[in-house]
Amino acid sequence: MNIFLHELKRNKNAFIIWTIATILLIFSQMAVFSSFVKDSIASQQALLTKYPAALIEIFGISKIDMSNVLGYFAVKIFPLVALIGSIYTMLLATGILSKEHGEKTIEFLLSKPISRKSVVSSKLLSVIFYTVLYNLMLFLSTYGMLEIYKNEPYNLSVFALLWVSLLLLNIAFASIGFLISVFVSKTKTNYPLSIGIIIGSYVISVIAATSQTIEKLKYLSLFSYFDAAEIIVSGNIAPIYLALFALFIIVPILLSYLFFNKKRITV
Amino acid sequence: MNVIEIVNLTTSYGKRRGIENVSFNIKQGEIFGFIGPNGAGKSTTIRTLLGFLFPNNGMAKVFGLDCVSESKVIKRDIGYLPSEVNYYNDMKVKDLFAYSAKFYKKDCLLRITELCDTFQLDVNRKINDLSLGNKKKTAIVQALLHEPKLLIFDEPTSGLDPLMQNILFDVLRKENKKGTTIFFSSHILSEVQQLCHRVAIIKDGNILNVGSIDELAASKCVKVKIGLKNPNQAEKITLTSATDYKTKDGYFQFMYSGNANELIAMLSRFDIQNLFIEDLSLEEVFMHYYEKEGE
Repeated sequence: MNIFLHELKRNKNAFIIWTIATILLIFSQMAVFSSFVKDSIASQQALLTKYPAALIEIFGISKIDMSNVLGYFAVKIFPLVALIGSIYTMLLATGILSKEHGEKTIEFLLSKPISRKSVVSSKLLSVIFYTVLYNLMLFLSTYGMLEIYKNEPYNLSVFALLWVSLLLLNIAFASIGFLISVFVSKTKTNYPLSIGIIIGSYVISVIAATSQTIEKLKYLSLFSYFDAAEIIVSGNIAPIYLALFALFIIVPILLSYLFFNKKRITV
Repeated sequence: MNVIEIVNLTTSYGKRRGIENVSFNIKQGEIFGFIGPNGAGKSTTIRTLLGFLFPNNGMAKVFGLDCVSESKVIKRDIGYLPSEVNYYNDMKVKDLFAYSAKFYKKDCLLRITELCDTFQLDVNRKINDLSLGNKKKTAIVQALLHEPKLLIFDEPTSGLDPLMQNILFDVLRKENKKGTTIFFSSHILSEVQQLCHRVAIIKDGNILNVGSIDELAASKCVKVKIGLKNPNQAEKITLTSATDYKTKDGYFQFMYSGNANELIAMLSRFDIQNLFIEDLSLEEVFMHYYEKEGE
């Protein structure tokens, strides 16, 4: 609990900044919804011509009614929020253990009467806490915005389901970031590495969506498991994606425990 | 009762040498010195005891408990001062102490206040703003605040001014009188001689000798200094148990570890003006071991 509270304090400012910045971004996009709807059909068609075919496929733009506030949010804003949220949670997780190595405070920590397993658990819990809180803050803010800007009823449970899938995506990236933090102690290395993984994953999902011949590539990208259009259309998250999310969350966490337990601490 | 028990301990990591077949015990209530130059294996031994590194071979126990499997329990009663002090730079000293104390689930406030007074430490300053000496003092208070039964201090005086070094030694002696065992690692011989009851000498990852300060200083060897009437006769003085022959400050001198009668019989053949037979200082013992092992 001591380490958990310490981590909450240490990462508080970053959490506040990322949360406010993301909410402002969502707000800036939602604010133009009314004017977008006024010319809904023309806008949607214009948008379709602007978007590359791959993106239309990825985000299922053609399947969604963007004159509905939820559809607009899911197509125009949600993918960006997913990207930003993934970057935040992965950077948070990547720094959580590697900072102790980089700042050489790991000796202080491990000289205390606490098992390595507890160190991992406490730090992991703080990452999950902030990931959940970040998503909750975004969910509530966006819900407020949808209520303000809605022009017709929307499906609240589908909206909630979208955030569940986003939360799973963020936790999966956090989990991978946590594993990186066990191995890479230099922040100069692990931050670019984390952003590289996210961007790489995003690019793979885009490439995989462009052709059916390389469709299976999508299983390499967490972003492919996160299909906002599919959730809106079907009203649920595909079980295969849930299973893959679980795999990408559980395996890195288990490996983190395993490797940190065996890690030789040299400062 | 042994507080620390190390038997044939070998720890290696990466390209670094580590330690090989290290064995020694530290009894309860002892101040045990661990001396050797930088890179000899002192910190590796300590890091193995604290569970930062895992032994390749051998056994290390603290309070009778295995250093690997019982590490968490052992650390309840250990106060550790690392050679290089690294804390959270954005924290205030008092916040670091509060964070540290919470691990022991003890109210350490009074003890922290006492120690900060003793070491003249301002707890309201940020770690990042502290000088090297003040960081060291912070680390000392941090290691002592939970009143541990065993103190493991690695190069504790580096960065401290002489006045503060004396205060530290006074505090350590006081703690020792209360029953605290102290494992004191240093490369400065005079401070080990000043403070410790027993000492182990380590070089290149191997223990060269373990003994009491007096035993080591007097052990086996004496320093013989001879003022010969005819200095040219010096080369005729040859003894089987003598080493390190040299002429210094007009005296012919050597280390002797053999039979006294043999020495007297040899010296009686020469015209001697002055003769000094002295116990070795710890520094001379140390250098003697190092030179001997280096040959």
